[in-house]
Amino acid sequence: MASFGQIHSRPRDALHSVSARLYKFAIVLTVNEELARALLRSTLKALNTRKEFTEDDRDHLTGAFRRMCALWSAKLAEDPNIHKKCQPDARLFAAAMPRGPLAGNAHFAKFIANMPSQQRAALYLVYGESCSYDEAADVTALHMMALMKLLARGHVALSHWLDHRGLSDGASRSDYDMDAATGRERAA
Amino acid sequence: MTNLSDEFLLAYLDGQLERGQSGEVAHLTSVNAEIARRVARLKRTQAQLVESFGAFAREEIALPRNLFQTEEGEGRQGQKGKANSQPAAAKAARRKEPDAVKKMLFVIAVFAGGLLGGYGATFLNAPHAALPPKDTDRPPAAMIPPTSWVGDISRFHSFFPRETLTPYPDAISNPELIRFQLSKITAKALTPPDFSRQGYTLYRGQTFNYRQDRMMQLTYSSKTEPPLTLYALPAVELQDSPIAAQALGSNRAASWVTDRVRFLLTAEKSEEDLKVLALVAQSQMPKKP
Repeated sequence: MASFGQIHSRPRDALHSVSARLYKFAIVLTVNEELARALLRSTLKALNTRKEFTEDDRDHLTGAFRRMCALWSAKLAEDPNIHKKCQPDARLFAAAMPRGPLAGNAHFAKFIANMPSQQRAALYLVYGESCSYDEAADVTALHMMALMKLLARGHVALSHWLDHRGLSDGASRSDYDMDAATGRERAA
Repeated sequence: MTNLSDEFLLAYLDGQLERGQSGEVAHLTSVNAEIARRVARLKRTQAQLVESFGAFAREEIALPRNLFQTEEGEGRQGQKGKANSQPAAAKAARRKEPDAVKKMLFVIAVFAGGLLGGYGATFLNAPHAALPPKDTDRPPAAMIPPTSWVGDISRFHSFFPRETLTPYPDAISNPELIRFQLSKITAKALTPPDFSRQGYTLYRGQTFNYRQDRMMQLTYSSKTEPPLTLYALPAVELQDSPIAAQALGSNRAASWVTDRVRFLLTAEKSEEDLKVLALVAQSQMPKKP
């Protein structure tokens, strides 16, 4: 059995290079630094034996995300009150709004942190990792229609939140608009 | 195709539709103001999400340390640590041993002191009082003189002030439940007597313990008359007896035994009135086969 502690194999290097992305995904899922670390360690341990893992292979990265998502779902099923013990930390997202009208907006970070983890993960995969709907559905283990509903509900919730805060106009500037062609390019 | 869902419009904006479908939606957006408004709204939120999550995805992040430390390594470290720490642990254990013995002796001394000073002293000095007779030594219900139960229940009834026997306006009785409970206690298919012709309505049924038996208290209320209370309890060893009215202290009561069930009717009424009401109740009891 390969041991990452001793042998510098190619899969290990590949895993190491994508671990930052996996860590971010773990933060998106857990919204807690401690839980994210534990989840990342568990995922890497689970992927430890996958010698075929390569850095540039999108499928393998999707597989790693899927594995992490499954581990988190199992953890939630095992301990539904996990967030009572480990409080969500919205500050983890606050630093991620460097530009735009909501730059450094702690309330927006809190809004993101309070979303259901599955919805947040789906939105991150589509808009952060530029995954297609197929990939996002695969990672979150949802049917396509369920994923689309989850995304649409996220949009509606955000739209209401922006309206409530009176931020709709600011966010509708043309430099934030993206047409369908650009969306297709991103998805491709 | 004008009735488009948010999911479909979002898929269009995210570039997930086929080219043909996408063209149709784009055309509809240009001609239908409602769809154009919805698309614009979704575009706003999409832009915000792309901006936020995109920035988060691009952000440099510090990875946790010792990320790739394996269980093997940890295990080896643990073993090494154990091996090194074993003599120290043994020394510490040896050092702790006298402390543990001292603590144990202290606990035993405190316990023994408490025992001798408290319970022990009481046990040694106190005179041996005679214990009350056990339940099994007491006379059973069947041995109680037949007349005593009337006095007992009358005394018991005197603890109920009139206010507690008067229902509040919204009091709801459940005659079926009262009937069920009465039948269960007396082991007979009994129905609570109906005094509606005398202006009384049954409003409450309660169960109590009377010696080894269960007893049911039925309370009747009237708009003009004082409340009426009927007690019913089993009488296994008693013979049937006619209605007897008597005054027990300030209470007046009419009692009788029918078919191994004891009844006691009490109210702030004259003995004659109570007898009449008792006769009404008795006439409604099922006849012996």
